[in-house]
Amino acid sequence: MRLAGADEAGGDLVAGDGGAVELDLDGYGFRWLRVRRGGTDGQVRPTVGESAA
Amino acid sequence: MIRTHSTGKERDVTLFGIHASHEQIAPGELLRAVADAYRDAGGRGPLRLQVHLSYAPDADEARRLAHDQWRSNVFPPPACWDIDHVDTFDAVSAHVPPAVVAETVNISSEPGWHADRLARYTELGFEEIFLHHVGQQLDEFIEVFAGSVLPELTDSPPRGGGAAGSGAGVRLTRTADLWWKNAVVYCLDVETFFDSGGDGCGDFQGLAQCIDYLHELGVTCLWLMPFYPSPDRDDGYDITDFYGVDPRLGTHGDLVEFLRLARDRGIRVIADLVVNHTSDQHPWFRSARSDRDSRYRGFYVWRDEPPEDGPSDVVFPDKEDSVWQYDEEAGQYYLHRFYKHQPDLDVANPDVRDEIARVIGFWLELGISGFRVDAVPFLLETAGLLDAEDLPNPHDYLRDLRAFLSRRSGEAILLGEVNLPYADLRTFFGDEDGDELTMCFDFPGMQQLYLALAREDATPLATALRERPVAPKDGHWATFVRNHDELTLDKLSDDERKEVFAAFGPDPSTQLYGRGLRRRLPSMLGGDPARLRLVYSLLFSLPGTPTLFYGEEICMGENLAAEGRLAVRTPMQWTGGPNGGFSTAGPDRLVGPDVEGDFGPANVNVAAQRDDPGSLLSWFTAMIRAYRRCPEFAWGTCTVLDCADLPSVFAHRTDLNGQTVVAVHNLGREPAAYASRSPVSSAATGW
Repeated sequence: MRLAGADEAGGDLVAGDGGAVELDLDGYGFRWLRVRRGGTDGQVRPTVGESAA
Repeated sequence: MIRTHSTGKERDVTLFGIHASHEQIAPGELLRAVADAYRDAGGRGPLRLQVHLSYAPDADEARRLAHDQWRSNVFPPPACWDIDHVDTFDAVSAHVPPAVVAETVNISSEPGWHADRLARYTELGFEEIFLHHVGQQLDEFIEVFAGSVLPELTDSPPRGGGAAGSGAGVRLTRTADLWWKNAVVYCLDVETFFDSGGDGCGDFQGLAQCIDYLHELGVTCLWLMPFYPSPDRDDGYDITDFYGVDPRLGTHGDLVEFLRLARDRGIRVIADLVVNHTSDQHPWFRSARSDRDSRYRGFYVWRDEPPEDGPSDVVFPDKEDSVWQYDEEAGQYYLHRFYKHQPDLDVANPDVRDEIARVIGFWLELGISGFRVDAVPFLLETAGLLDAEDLPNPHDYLRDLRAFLSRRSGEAILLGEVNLPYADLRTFFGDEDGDELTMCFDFPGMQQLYLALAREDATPLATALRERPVAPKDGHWATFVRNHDELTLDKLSDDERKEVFAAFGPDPSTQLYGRGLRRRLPSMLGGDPARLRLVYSLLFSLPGTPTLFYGEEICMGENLAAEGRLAVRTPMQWTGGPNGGFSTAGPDRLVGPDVEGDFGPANVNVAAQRDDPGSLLSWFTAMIRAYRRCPEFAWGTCTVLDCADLPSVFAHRTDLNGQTVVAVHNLGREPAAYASRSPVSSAATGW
């Protein structure tokens, strides 16, 4: 799954089982992502840090 | 604020305006009310709870121990004795005076009971719980809790109600004792932080006035640079009385008042321990040089002639050309690895070791929670001593020192300045035994970080992280971007150092000792806010305890007109007014010059940033809070992810008890599209 899309959807993200992370970063950008098993318990965790860029 | 007071047998409680007696609010609800009221009042920091556990095989004995400890003032009067049975100590609570506490004392002979209560505190919204043992039977306590309570807690899934993003099961147990692992350390010099007396020099009373600033920022541990009496020829690292407080900064009374205040805000304080050497004005050295029969003569290292086999490299090559100085009065040479006015102590001398232990014990008694140990490799060095080959392993001494420290205070740490290659560093932790330094600064990693930033290529940083030895179980690395000294690049090759110089300090006036830079990060990065945030995001997410140098959180720069390393030790910038609000004294009386230009107080100060949600200070506050909510960074297993096809990207993950945090950083100026090569959700958690 593409995590950048999840960010744009409201800051939540879930890494799907077996899914790889794809992420768009600005120059000098960064992301902290809490990744949990997705979809099984309905829980998602917010991005806890993000770049200012 | 939380305030309790007693009126006879009924204890009234006022919590952020909530007023009720314990008969109206059940004990558990009382603690929940504390948490809710704190958040409702706009409290942003983590909620902390001090829990005193009184365990004994017999409940009556546990109760007696708790009672004795309370009567001895070992712990302050609690707001709630027992989450379920607040009446248990009703007779005692009748004597509880007003206090500012949020504490609970749990008394039981049943380990499972303790485990259950501890788990319930997280449900009440407390994010950090500090456990204190009540009683004397420490070995039995540890055995019971290690064997029963802790596994029960750590093996359980997080119970609901904790703060979003927290690894509840882990914080509860491990942060109890190993507080340093996810601490936020903040280094400051009292003399440059805030002047309450208007004499141009910061002081402890001024520092006390700033405690809520530090608390709001999220600092959990203050490292105080030397505050001892000193002729100040090396910014306080030349000490004349290890037991004293520099009168310019205040008194022992001021220090103790400050320590109590910091403790109230959940901030521990560690002090610089500078015992490799003394000032040449120290009474020990004055006696030693004047009389060969003085008992202090053997405190120092003397030779009739400089030996050929002793140490030769000087720490400050711009000022010194030899580590041996002939003293006319003594009629001999003495050893000094630093300035010649700082004669080295002979720590192989048992009397010197006894004195160092006394110094440590003294400050622990006053409430210090440990020490940043200055110049550790020099302290342990035996080269140059007459009988060096016959001396025991110097690391035995470091082990003895740690054992003494731990006997005196179980929470105390030794944070070592050990600027050595990784291959030599782990020994200073005590290898796998972890019985020497509690923490070591990661100098090699810091230097590789700057090389990576200069190249906009994460490879040096990734390589360093992969090569860095794993700290012992209870030990930890201390990470930093900038400290109070020159930004040393001495572990880089000559060509690598030139690269960093070219990127961040091409002007010779910004370089020092041929090995470092005397600039702060903002000026090195041209004040680029995105890049600054990138670097500090790395600091808070890389494995290790982040250690800040005052002013980093507001983008302070340096004043190159100040001598040497003092360029980065300018007064804290509180406002845009005169002297940056640091002091009301005239500029000619200031302890140091202000920063000038873009990074000076007019443009960079706390007042302007404190209420600006877009400021670096606000960002730092949020970042620290995020860091504290991600115990994975401090406690988890770190894996550097493969980004070989994207050199500018550094990605790593940390895994802890079924939770994973991934951090991805782009060190390059161009956008980057990162794609993990393997599923991030397939770690050892079984996903």
